Amino acid sequence: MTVVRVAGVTKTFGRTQALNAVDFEAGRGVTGLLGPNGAGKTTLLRMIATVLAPDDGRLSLLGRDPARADQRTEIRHRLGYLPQEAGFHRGFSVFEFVDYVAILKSMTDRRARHDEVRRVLALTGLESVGGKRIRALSGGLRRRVGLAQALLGDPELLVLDEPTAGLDPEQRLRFREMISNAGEGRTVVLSSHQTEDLAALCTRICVIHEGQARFAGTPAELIARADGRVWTGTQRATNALAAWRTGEGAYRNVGRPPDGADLVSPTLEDAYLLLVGAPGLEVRA
Amino acid sequence: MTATLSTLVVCEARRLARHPALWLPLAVALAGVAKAAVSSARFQAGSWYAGVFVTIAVLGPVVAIFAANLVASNARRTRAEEMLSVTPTADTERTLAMCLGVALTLAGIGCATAFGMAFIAAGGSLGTGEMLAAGELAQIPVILAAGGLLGVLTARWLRFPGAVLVSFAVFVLGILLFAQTGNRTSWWLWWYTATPMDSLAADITSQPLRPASAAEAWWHTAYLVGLCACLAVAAVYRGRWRRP
Repeated sequence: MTVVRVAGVTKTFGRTQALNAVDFEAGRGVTGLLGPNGAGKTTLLRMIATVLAPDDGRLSLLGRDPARADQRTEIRHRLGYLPQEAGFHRGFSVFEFVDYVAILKSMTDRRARHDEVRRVLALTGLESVGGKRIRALSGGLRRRVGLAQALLGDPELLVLDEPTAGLDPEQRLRFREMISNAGEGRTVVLSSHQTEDLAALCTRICVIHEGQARFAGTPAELIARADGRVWTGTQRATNALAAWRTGEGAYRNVGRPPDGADLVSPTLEDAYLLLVGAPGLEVRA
Repeated sequence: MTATLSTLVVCEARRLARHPALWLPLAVALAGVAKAAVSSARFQAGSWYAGVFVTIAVLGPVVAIFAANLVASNARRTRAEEMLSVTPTADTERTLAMCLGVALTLAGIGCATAFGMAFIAAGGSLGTGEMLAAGELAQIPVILAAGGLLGVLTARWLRFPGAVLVSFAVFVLGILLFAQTGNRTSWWLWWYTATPMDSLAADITSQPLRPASAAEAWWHTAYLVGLCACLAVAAVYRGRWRRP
């Protein structure tokens, strides 16, 4: 079942075209948006989160049209959103902030609301810091507060903009676990620069580049596109799209092989490089 | 009033009441009044009465503008606005809750002040010329609420970085300039009507003051309530004039 349907959506900010006739669909499970900085991922996610309206094209979320005010409110009842730059009210403790968002999400019964706040704090591992001021928390814990507020009310659609950005490896793994759990039985749309996170989490991936959707499919399908185009050898191919020396001392070449190189299995990162590859992406050893 | 709105009003009222920018200056000023009154040779009800009035009715609105502006602009300044905007509660409803929470909290402080002053006056040691009439006391909660609503309005309309400090400086400078040059007979330009106590300030303004009649005081209270309503409407419907 398609929960998010984006058809021919265009968005322009001044002279910059952020999105150009983008088509995108997401159903149950975790769908990832992958692309370089400025590709238009955040703009697309903000549209899916009902923050922005498209200049052109159609959007359908949970079977409703966000352009209509009444239906937008219905969507927001069933939506959780973690923006890229999630800020928090100064002076609030973790519990108070999540409780405040719960009020905004129309949870008016005090006892039920507090139970729900405790539930999402437990889901995100924040029970022990519920009474702490948010400004006293580390970046990773603040990110979890953002995820906790997004999970309020068990939303059917969860929109997460770079949820693992700036997190250390352990926190990233914890976040992966939380998002994976959240993706069971609901639709999660997230963006990330971390190809490993997307490979580990997503059932579908959409690659956005220069405001256009370049690929939509499963991670395996994207990786399959790079079959036969990744090599390791003792030297760097001069005409490779990207080449770097690995920890073992061998050169990994994406694109064209140097003489005497061995074909290896590609990763999602290799496939992504090949898809959006440009001369500027070349990596010098 | 919807359940969400009433819950939000309580939440916003609590946020303002807890903000140190509100209670700290008032507490310091009231402590100063208390110290002056206690250290005087004998207890003077008149000093308390005038001190509390000046602190709450003169300093109070200025403090309320600043504190309410800080509270109302908090989401924008901390970049929490986007996260909060994607909720079923509309921007207008959130601002209405903010206006009601701020106005009710400050009006509550004003009411407590007015009752406190009435309590001091009930002691019987104040002269007739030292006491405020009921209509003048009734202006205190409305003046404070208006200050808070002006702060919310400023937060909604001035959305650039540093707007809180800039607007506060402009308000304070405006008040000082007006106090120097303003025409005291244009009663509607002032936030409270001329009281018997203003004779003390006549030396500063060098203008003769005529205390307002009881009817004028009540009319001025009604006028201030109307101003509060205008401020709230302008703050709540700010989004209607915002560029998409």
